[in-house]
Amino acid sequence: MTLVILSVLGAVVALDATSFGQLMLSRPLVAGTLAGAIVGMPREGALIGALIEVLSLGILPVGAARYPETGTAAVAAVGSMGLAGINAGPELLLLVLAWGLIWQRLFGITVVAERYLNERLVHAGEELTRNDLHDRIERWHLTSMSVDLLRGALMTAIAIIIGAPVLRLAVTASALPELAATLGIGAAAAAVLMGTARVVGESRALLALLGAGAALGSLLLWVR
Amino acid sequence: MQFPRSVLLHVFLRSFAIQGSWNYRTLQGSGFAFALLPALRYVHRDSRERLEEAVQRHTHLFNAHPYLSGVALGAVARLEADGVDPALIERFKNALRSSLGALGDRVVWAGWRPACLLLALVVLLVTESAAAAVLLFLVIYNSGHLALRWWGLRVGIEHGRHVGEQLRQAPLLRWHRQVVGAAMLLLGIALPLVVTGALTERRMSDAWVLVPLAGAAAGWPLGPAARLVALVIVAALTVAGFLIRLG
Repeated sequence: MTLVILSVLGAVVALDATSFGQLMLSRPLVAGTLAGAIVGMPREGALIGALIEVLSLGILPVGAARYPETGTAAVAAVGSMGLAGINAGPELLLLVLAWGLIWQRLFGITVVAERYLNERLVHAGEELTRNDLHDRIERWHLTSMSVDLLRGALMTAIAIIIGAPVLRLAVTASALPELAATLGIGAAAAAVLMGTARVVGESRALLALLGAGAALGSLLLWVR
Repeated sequence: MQFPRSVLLHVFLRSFAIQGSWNYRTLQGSGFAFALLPALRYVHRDSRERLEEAVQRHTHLFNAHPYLSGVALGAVARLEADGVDPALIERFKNALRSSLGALGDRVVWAGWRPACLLLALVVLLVTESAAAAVLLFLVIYNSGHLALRWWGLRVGIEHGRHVGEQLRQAPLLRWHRQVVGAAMLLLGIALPLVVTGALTERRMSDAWVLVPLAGAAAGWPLGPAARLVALVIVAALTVAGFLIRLG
């Protein structure tokens, strides 16, 4: 039953990413938290989602760019973790994160395949002169969206069905010290954040704001 | 010709699905026709032939930022209602689409969205409440998102072919600069939290913090390439875990 609910979530997240809404339910932070709530690990789900989120902050869906699908990957990673019954410390968090990063690429490939399929479904680029074209265009369009929904559900189910036993096995086959995982994740996330900061802007005013934020963050740490 | 409110509402709701059949040949083309259909059905309600011809024209190549597609939908609906020459409408669409794409990519994808995500990240790391972070993100982000979509459709309908001037006068880019400033501040707040292990819920001792700090220092010159380095770090550590067990 949990697998079915996770697959439905995967379908909704896949649809939200491009086809309908773009309400950002498809952001890994949101999708990971929702998947975590379904498997009874909302906090761990949010952390996995946040990690995938940070690593994908700089990805922009501009024009016809091809990019990984991060939301469904977060559902797949957190769902696999939940069904595997893993309690995620940093070293296990790293394994779940790696599983999510693999699947975000695979999900991205299916998005590209679906876009080629859409060409056929809506007869894109053809001179459309049929009768009842206004009715047909609606049917074709809704069929494309249904395919996206099914793709999300199916791919999420496959990723979790494979993922749960793989993660269970990986946990026993890995002996990475907790400290190494903590440092690695921290370094990777910090590098991406600073890389993103540079993309945002290098003006003096922006750098001053970055510095002020870092001071504020340090103060928060000190207070806590 | 004035559109009934119900027609505008249908176009607005369908604009959420403008990318539903996105493909590499016409991009949002068929989605544009799908979203515009309620307006076309209203304008050409007396002539099935003209309706079919209009739908056919609007399945051609189109691409814009999805949140700002309402500007083009509204303006084209207005031009169709005014009986403007189809060739002129096609040229107008072509001229509008690239500026809507560039503006939306800059203001939303590279401004509003990362700023809201960084706010959610900071809330998550500071309050440790996933529900608060996610809810705050969805409410704040979508307030801007829905307002932008509705504004776009209204401005398109009201100004038709003169919508470009309205876009230039809109305060979007001025707001964008403020949003980017806020994003930078939030990024700065998140950095010390991330560096000291908040994403793994482990507080590192002072000396070990130097390792993630080195990552942060390396991230600046790398820019967008830092993401690739981060993926390599995750992959290398995963493999290292298996090798340590084997050893």
